[in-house]
Amino acid sequence: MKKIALIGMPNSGKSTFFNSISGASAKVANWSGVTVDIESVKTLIFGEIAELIDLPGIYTLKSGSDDELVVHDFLKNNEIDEIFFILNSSQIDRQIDLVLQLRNLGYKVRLLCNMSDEAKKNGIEINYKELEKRLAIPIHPISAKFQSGYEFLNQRLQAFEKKISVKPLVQNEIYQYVNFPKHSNDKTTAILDKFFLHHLWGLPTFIILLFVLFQIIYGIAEPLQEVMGLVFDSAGEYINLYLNQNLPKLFSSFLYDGVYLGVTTVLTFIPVIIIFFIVMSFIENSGYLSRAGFVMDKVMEKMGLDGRSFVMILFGFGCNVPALMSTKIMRSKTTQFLTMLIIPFSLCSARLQVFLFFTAIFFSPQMGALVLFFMYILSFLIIIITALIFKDKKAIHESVLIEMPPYRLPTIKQTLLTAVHEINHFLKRASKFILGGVIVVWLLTNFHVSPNVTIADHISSFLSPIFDPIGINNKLIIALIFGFIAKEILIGALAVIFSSNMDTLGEILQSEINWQQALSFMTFTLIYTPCLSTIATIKSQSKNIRLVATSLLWSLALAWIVSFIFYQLLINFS
Amino acid sequence: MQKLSNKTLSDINQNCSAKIIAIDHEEWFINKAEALGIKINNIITVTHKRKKGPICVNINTTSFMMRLSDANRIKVMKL
Ligand SMILES: Nc1nc2c(ncn2[C@@H]2O[C@H](COP(=O)(O)OP(=O)(O)O)[C@@H](O)[C@H]2O)c(=O)[nH]1
Repeated sequence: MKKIALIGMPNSGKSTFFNSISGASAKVANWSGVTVDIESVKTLIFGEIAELIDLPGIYTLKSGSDDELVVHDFLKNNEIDEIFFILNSSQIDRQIDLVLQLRNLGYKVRLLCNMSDEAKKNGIEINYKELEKRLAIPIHPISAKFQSGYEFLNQRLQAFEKKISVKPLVQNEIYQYVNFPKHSNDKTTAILDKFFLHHLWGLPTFIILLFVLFQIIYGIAEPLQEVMGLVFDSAGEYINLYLNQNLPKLFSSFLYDGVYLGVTTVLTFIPVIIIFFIVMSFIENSGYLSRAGFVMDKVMEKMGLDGRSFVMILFGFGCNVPALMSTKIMRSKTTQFLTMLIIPFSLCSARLQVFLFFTAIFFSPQMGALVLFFMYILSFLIIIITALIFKDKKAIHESVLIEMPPYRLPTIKQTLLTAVHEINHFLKRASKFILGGVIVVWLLTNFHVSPNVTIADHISSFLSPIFDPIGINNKLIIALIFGFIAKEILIGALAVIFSSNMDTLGEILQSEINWQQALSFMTFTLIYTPCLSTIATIKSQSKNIRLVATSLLWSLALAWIVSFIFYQLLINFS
Repeated sequence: MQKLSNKTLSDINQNCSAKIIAIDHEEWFINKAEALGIKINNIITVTHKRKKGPICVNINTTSFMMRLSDANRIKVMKL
């Protein structure tokens, strides 16, 4: 099978092209010499099944950045038959050199001049025929956004010219083949930038926009999530009943409490992720994300991050998982890893549910609101502290050179394709890990070391010297172990542990623990590992076990320290 | 011919242009900058500035943002 590598500079529309061809069928495969995930798709190209491989965007062939190293190593260690080089036609003058370099290294390069729609609109004229002759490579004008110009993919393969190298273009030679208008036609971008980047209005506009988008995401996603939860719950009752009647108790409990609950919990994430990515891909594809980065950069630089991290952290307050997934657009690993380390401290909607439940039981409405507000402040503080502690001291003045693409109106099709792509990504990579985790927790809470003592009981009594000083008793420890799966099931788990139903759980909790303990439990819940899906995402995005371990250990340690301080202060001074 | 000045890109006012005369930076930065069109002899325009914050510049058909610390390392001649 033919292997075709997709190469291009960042922002040239590579992902748009790849998504439009692969839809939801992209797969991650192993390639020799590279450790990062590289997606590919098998599809019909030139009348035969070929594998199209999506490589990261690069600026040069000199291995400077991590992405460039990946492409370098990939090309060195893998036989490929052809390169599809994709470039932004409006920037052909500065992107063409890379094409020739690859060609002169002996690769069969096919040049896809993307965004030809935009180039035309901007009055840029390219003499494809002459350029084709000069470079001795086939050229196809396309528009990935509108999926036009793809006809060449269906044709039988044209023969390539012999591998003779061609002379590099001398300075300004490209202008013999390309005609740029004297003045930029893109007035819209200049006008919008005057507003969005304005030193006074830029920031407030950004905050208002974010607020509105946030409301949209969770205004739509949360009810959907609830409906899905309800459907799964009621379906679950029947399934549980059926399993109980037909299977041995242990086995039916495994299928229901383990597999079913685990899988459905993961599934309820889907609406949030879809809607999140529709919005996120809109912000990114419209060109606004890099403007937001510009507006927020000064503040974030102090924390060792860049302006775009702010948007992601904020989205983490809805759900950490998609926020973590969106960090992939960051090209600096240092910044990306730091952002991934702090996103899990954003108080997501699942934790909010736990807090709402607890505040309703233990505090008066006024006090409850205050406690809730305090939790949000705490979440922000932890984010700042973590960033300050873990920031790469060298990275404070890390260079940032981010392209500001023109403003574009993304198409619905393009946006949906991105969302589908991301969901596919999440399910494929996270599901095994999450299912594994769910099964482990089920084993812990269902396997007995001696009659009436499960492994979890054993662990919790073993851990109780650690949790005593923060007011968390054995039963609550087991709840925290459940909380590893997802915070959504924490309340349900408490009901099981305290052998009550939802209606009486409040009363029982009130009689078993005091408000100081409740607050300590809430604090711990806020800070310690948010859920298995988050860890799975950190793992699959970063491919870095050290980052996963740091995230786990740091959040546990910090959760204990902060809860300890609060609990001791509260019981001693109130 | 104008006299060589010691100006850097960060000294250039908003909406003013300058010619790049040297980039004193790490190799990866120079490579990336070159790929984006930021290279010697090119004309660069500062389109937006934030106080002590990043700047937004334009070369040919491309705009990018850059931190002040990087702009400080690009020597330019005011036009
Ligand atoms: N007008 C136009 N915009 C495009 C086209 N292809 C991609 N884009 C836009 O260019 C931007 C960058 O595309 P993306 O695929 O993320 O680039 P990548 O960094 O190379 O993967 C996005 O805003 C796309 O919507 C095209 O053919 N025409």
